[in-house]
Amino acid sequence: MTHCSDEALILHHYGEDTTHERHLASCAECDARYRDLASVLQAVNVVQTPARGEHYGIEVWQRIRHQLPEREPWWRAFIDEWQWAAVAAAAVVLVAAGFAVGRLWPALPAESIAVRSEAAV
Amino acid sequence: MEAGEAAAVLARARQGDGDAFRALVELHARAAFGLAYRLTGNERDAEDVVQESFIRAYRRIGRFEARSNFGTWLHRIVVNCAMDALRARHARREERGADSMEELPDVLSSRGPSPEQLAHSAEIRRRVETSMASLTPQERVAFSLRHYEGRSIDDIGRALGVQKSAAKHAVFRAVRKLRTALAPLRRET
Repeated sequence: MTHCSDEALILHHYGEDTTHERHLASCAECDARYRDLASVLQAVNVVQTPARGEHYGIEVWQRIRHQLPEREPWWRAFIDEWQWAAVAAAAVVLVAAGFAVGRLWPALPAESIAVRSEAAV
Repeated sequence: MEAGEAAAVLARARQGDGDAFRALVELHARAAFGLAYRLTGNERDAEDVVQESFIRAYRRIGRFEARSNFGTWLHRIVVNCAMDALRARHARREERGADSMEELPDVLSSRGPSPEQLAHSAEIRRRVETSMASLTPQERVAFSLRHYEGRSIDDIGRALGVQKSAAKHAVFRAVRKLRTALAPLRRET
């Protein structure tokens, strides 16, 4: 018989995996391990959140109202931080490519330009 | 606040109406504090996280999609702020050594019906808080979201910006550490 792993028992506890129910019903060893796990997780619930009063929201507002920063301009919503980096990288690549093309493109000899100009006239 | 009214308040807040944003703060602050406290386990940090979360929300409200739920959006901001707070606390603890006063959990406000039960529950609480404090920020947030907030592993992965398997293993590690830390207490009972 293959017993449940600890990970499987955790997932079972949180309802993320229901495939072990049958096994747990028939295996005393796994069932005991599961109960042990459940008791630990139950103990963790002893921590209680301190209560906050009805007017807590107003208190928070009073504390932050003078700290509120400038809002982002509307168009900023469409461009995230990583997108800024991509735009900047693309701009650098374009400038570098333009520079390289300008340097490497074979320049026409001056004579051929002159000949073409005469032919045109 | 009814759905229609809430949508109108949100729309006004997105257009820069300070009164509308104040209404959102008043409506969501208690829930934000509850989440922040469960994630950080410390009132002072939770208060800071709530404030920082609303300040971030204000700055970025232009990014908020009107058809989404403001509470869900704010939840994610609170998780991120709590992660930042936990990382900062973790780093301070690494610098100073594990047992500085700052890291002591809030155990003294515990109330119990009798001195024996109080002593026992306070001891359990102290151990739980101490073992929670020993988790890494990611383990603590993943565990808290799964255990206290009932979020699925998928949701946790999205909230933390990690793969589902990473979120799952963060929960596993947290549970393993808590079991180890609480084992002596179980033997005593």
